Amino acid sequence: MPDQEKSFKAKVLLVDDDASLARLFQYSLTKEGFECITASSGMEGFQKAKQFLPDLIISDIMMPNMNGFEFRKIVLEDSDIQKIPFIFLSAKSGEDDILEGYDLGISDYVVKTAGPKVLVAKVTALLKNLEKEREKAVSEIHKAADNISMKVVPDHPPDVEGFLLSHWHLPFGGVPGGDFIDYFNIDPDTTVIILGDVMGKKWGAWYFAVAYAGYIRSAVRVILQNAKELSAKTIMTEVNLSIFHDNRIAEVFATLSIVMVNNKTGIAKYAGAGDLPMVFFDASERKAEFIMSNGLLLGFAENGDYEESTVKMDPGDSIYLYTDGIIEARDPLGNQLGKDYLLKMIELTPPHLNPIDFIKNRMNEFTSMKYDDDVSIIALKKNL
Amino acid sequence: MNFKVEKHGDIALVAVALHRATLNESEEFKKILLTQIEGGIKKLIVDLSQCEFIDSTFLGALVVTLKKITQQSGDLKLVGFQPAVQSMFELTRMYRIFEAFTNKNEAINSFK
Repeated sequence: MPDQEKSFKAKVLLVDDDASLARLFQYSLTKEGFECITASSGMEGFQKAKQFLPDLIISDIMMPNMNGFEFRKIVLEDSDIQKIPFIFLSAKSGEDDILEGYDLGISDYVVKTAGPKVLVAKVTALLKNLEKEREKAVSEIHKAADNISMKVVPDHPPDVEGFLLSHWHLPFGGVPGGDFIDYFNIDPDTTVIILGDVMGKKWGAWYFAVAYAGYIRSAVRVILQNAKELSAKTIMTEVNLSIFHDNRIAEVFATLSIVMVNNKTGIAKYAGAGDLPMVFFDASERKAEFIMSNGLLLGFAENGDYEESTVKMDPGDSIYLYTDGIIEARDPLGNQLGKDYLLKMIELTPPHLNPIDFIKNRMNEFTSMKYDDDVSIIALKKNL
Repeated sequence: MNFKVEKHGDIALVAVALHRATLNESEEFKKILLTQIEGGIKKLIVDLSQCEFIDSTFLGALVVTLKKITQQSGDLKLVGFQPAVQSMFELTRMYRIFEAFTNKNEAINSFK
């Protein structure tokens, strides 16, 4: 199934009390490139469906305690899993059984005597169609997001004289998600860099995250236009206040990192709200370290206690802002990348390379290009 | 099941029986916590000792609940950080908004 392997490995849950038959079908499905999880009863199937959220559920009908029809009914009652396509795989081949199955809103009914090849062919066809539908939905979402001019990440960072500013953003599932990036050149010498992460909004509610990101960006723009004395700290404090007092978004929280850099003096000022600490790389020592911010999540408290840290950037020095998708990225064995590995990647970046290209390659190697969250990182490097 | 609720007098203790607590379980988790608050509970404890990892969506559910319960003069306290969860709470300064304890008896006593 090469088409699907390119994009993702579909997860199939197979529920059957006959262990040897389950193994046979599992073998055939795995061989075709599916990830196949098995369960030996309806109850176990229900728990595994909730836990793994498979792309497809295949279930036997005749099982002790809870039969396949009963299992299908409890799946239909659970909002997390009711929409997962469902196939009955049964030795029962009577017209009434098949019709009873279809009454429960299933996608297909396969008789066991048809054999594993037929099952695999049906599964492949079904998942291919779903993938096509998903791609269509994703493309419509992109169009909608473009139409309302609310890109969560600009295509290119602006030029900053004497610096290399670059970013890498990989939205989860290819859809605009919770992470957002913005840049503002507020005068010829000063650039403001913004990185945020809307908590808890994955692509199921993409429009929400996009709208919220837009809200924060407008708040920042208004503050930039009106404030007399600008600093990362004042921007953060003002954004937090406007969000805190807005009841419409009282249940949404976001992390935010703000860096304000002066390209003449090389001074970068950083404030953070519940964000992961900025990394500062000192080129003379070839050492990367975390610069902790101290503010609370945006919108959590009226007084977020935002403070500002200052670093002076010399030629070759760089700073990094990133979201949790970076340090929580996992290798195929499930090991997390972690904060120390991030520092190591930064320290190992060859001086002549764009750090973002280097980190992106290392991360793709580490994860085998499989990510389970939005991934965003911004690097600002002072030219040598 | 993924969540177990125990009552200790006027305190509700919700134990999270998950190694990875993520967006997949966060809605159910939020519902359980909010049901406790709607039932009049003002002292909530969440036991995370089985969690090796919690993602930001799951953390979001904790934050929303904390905000709700503190508006009603209640509190939500946490118990049992494993190293990775501890590290995440430190990195994001969550320890400043949540009171945390090493075991549930300490947390229960802190409400008395």
